[in-house]
Amino acid sequence: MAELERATPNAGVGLEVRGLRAGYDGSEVLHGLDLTVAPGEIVAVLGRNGMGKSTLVNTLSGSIAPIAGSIHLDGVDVTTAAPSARFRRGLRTFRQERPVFPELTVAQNLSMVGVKSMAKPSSYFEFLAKRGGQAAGTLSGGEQKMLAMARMASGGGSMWILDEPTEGLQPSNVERSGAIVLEAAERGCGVLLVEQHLNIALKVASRWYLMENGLLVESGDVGPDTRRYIFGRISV
Amino acid sequence: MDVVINEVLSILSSAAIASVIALGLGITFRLMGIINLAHGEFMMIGAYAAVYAGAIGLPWPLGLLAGVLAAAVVGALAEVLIVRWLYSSPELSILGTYGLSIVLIQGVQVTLGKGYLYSSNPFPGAIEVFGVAYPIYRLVLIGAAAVLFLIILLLLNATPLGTKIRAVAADGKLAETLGIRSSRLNLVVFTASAALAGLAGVLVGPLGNVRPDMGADYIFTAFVIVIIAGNSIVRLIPAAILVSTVQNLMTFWIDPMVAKIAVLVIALLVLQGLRRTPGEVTV
Amino acid sequence: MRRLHWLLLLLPLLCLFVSNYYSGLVGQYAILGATAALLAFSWGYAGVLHFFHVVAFGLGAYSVGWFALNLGPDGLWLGLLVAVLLTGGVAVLLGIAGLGKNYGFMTFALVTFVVVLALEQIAVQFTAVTGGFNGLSNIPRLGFGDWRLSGSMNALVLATVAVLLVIGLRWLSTTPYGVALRAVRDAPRRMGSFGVDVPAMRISVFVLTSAATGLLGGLFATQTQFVSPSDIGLAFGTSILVWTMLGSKTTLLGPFLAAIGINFATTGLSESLVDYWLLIMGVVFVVVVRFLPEGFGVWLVRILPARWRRAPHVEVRRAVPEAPRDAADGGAAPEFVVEQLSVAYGSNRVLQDVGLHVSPGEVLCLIGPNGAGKSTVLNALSAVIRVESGRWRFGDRQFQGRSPWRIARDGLSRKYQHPSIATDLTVGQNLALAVWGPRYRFRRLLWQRWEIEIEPSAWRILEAGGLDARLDQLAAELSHGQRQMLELAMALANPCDVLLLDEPAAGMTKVEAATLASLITEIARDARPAVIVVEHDLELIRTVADRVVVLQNGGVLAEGTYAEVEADVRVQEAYLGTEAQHG
Repeated sequence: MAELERATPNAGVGLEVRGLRAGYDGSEVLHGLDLTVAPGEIVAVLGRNGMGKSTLVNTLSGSIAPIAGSIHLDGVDVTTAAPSARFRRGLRTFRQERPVFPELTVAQNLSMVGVKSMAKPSSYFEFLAKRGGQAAGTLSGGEQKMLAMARMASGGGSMWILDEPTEGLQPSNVERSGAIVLEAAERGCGVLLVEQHLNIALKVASRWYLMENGLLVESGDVGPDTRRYIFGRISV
Repeated sequence: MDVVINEVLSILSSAAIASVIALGLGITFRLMGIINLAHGEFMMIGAYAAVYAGAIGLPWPLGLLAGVLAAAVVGALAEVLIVRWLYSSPELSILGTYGLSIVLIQGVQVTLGKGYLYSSNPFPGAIEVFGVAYPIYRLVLIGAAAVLFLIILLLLNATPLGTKIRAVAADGKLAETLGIRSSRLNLVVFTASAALAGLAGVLVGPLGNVRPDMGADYIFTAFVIVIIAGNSIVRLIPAAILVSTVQNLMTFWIDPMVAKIAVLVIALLVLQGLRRTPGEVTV
Repeated sequence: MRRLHWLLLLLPLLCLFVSNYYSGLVGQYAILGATAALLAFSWGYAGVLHFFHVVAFGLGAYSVGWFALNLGPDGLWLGLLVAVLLTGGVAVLLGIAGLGKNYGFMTFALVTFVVVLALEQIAVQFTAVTGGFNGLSNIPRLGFGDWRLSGSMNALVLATVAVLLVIGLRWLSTTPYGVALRAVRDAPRRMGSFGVDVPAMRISVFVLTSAATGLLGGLFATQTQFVSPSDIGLAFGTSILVWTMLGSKTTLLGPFLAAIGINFATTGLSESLVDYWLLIMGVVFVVVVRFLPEGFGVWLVRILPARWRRAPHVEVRRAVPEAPRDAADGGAAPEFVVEQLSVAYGSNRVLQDVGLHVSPGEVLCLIGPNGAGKSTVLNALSAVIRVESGRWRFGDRQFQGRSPWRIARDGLSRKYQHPSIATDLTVGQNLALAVWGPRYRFRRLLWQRWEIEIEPSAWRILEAGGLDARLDQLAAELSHGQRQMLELAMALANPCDVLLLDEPAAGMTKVEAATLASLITEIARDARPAVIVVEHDLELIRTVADRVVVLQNGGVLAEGTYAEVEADVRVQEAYLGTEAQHG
């Protein structure tokens, strides 16, 4: 097993996680992990299902409180901050399940992050243009994910945490979501992309972590052989 | 003809009171998933505050304000100390507010006594409506109910705050990750509901007496209305009119006890007969 | 532990050795304890929270009082009978109205709360029968004619009944019926799709505990010889809730002992502190709800040795395979046919006149772009959502318009995308409930032994998931992939004619998905159900599909073999998108 990288790039900027332990109802799922995401960097967290990826996302977003460890956002300790406080510091989360408010309209869902017009969101996903007044709950599961992705894209933020944003999307829309992520990174936003599908993750990410049983066991830069290497590691 | 008009007005004014009480209950039920069994006691607090304000010589509008504020303060304290810790379990929130209602009734009884208090009618006299002399105060109640519903519905459906409140109602965790301070909004909603209860308490004061367990007189009807209206705030209005019609007519022509049972049976029948629309989740 | 609770029978014997006053208290408090245990069974075990317990208790007490005072002392026996029938009857009506359609338990709690409010006032106002505020006094003790039990002996009988009732409840909680109740509490939708009549389960436990509470109320009146509106009111109801919560509603002995203990500890207090008593109760109640909602009983359970609370072992056997149900008997083989299925969410039409047909042993894959309505098809077919129109049948067995559990009983099995098995039950218990769900009702479940036979295909899945060696393990301890496998095995545990799989490979690795694909092919070949799979994983579809149907905008766009569909230009445009044409 390769040594875990312990680089500390741009101290005080971006997302820095140290010794994070977290879980539900007293049972620990994350057993102490370190990770960093620098501004403008896209980092993929890969691994099989049930390894703790969603717990990591929920802990970073603030939906569950960590047992130990620290989370710093642009140098500010947000370990115990409420999700809404982290939002105000630029953190944006894409939740894997039920990412939108079903009983609010599409436009109201977008207005949550201050998006007033449908022009920008529908430039990412055209189907949104005519759906502003429709209740989001009547969209299909995939369309709801795209709505949430459009909300991410239109809502700014300096650090994105994405949990399986492309699960269940058809290939052409997976590409489009990937483009949104790249665009965000280009304007200086850090992105932590949690994915179990390697293709899209490794297409956009420049660095990866491999998660196994609540630990980040390996990490590295994305290169031409990464896909095959990780595929081998995951399928074992 | 006069009898009919008189009866219609009576039903409307009963419905007005009942719907304002049910509005406060319905807000917490619909928006927070909380069945607040202490709602009648928030009413009682409002009524007491208004009576005491009147006793020290404050004019009625200030008494009204005192009632609303007192109930709002008690409601806010209850939210911060008890209710907010129970949101994750609707079951515990029912039980918590139930315990709170007992504490409030007994607390007032121990400190202020069991005795009945009376509040004076701020709008004495009657005016003629369609040829029938009818108490002005009851007409004021009908107007007040209409205005309150209008305000609440506009606030919820046509303002950014209302959208945020509904977002928190639908999914507090998601709302939080979108930067909405859900705990603060929950406090706002619960306090507003308590304030509405206080307002209702002040309004019903002149119609009966003010005593620690007065909430029980009104809360039965209000709960039945909320049950019938289900998850909707607009539906509280027809539900209140339906229940008040049955209750008024049966109390008058038959017996108050039979009226209670009839209202209960109607609530159960409505639950039974609720038509499901296609596409709705059945389980 | 299984035997230890018989020690409780020492409690009634206390009545022989203590003064009349204290033996009377033993009798009363034992009855109150059993009342709390009944509430715990309905609320903690079955998840049915209600306030009716105090009404049932009061109705029982009033009927014994009224019959004994109006028909002579022996009327109390009739009163006891009426107590049970009346409370049971009212509970049936309330249960059908409030639990019959799967309303949220909040609504039911509210409905029963309103019933308490109404009945407390009725007890005061209906003076002709209830004696108003004064209540009914001089109710006779148990006995016949002039022969009546002494106070101590009456108490001994009451305490014995109470203890036996609690022991009976403990037994009930370990029967398949009791275990099924817990599963229904935790995963109602899932149990419904396994053929369990969820409303009937909830109503049955509500009626059962209410009728028993009515009996206890009636017996209580023979000890206190007095009944008043406070026996039916909210204040008394609060006390019962406090005991149940403090003792832990997820145990039976906890509430029983808590009620007795608290009552003895506070004997006399309630009289000397009469003005403050309710205030104190209220404060205690709020504090318990806020800080100690689990109660003390669960602490006790935790310190007991684990083997004392081990779940029963389930004997799982592999059913002897039937003669293969070949489609070779003369072309009249039944088919799963869906005709003109339409679904709308409000004004948004999701499915329009979809028609499908699948033969036994055939695997049909439903694919299509997001929003095409694939999951909606499965939800409609398994009656999880209401359809606007449409008919579907297997052979001449019609499914439309039936409830989910009836459809499951008629041989249509479904595996949901996300497993939601009952996690506090063992693997074996989960399987057993899946086997029994469609077949047995209340009575069979009571006497059923923990032995099941599952279909060979289900057994094959258990083996593939390594679950055959983990039958006694709690489902909570399984990994995600194992839960998926268990869920699939449960869907296949009974013979089924139609199998619906909703994204079975979701959350699986390539390797797990490949194993799954070969299992699906095997099952279709051996057990010959008509299989419909909704899936995004094209690799899996390529492996398992005999036929592929492409949905778009709620209608069927194309149909054919995987290769045919893949070559279809319209499909490429609609589904794969332009970039994917050369990929």
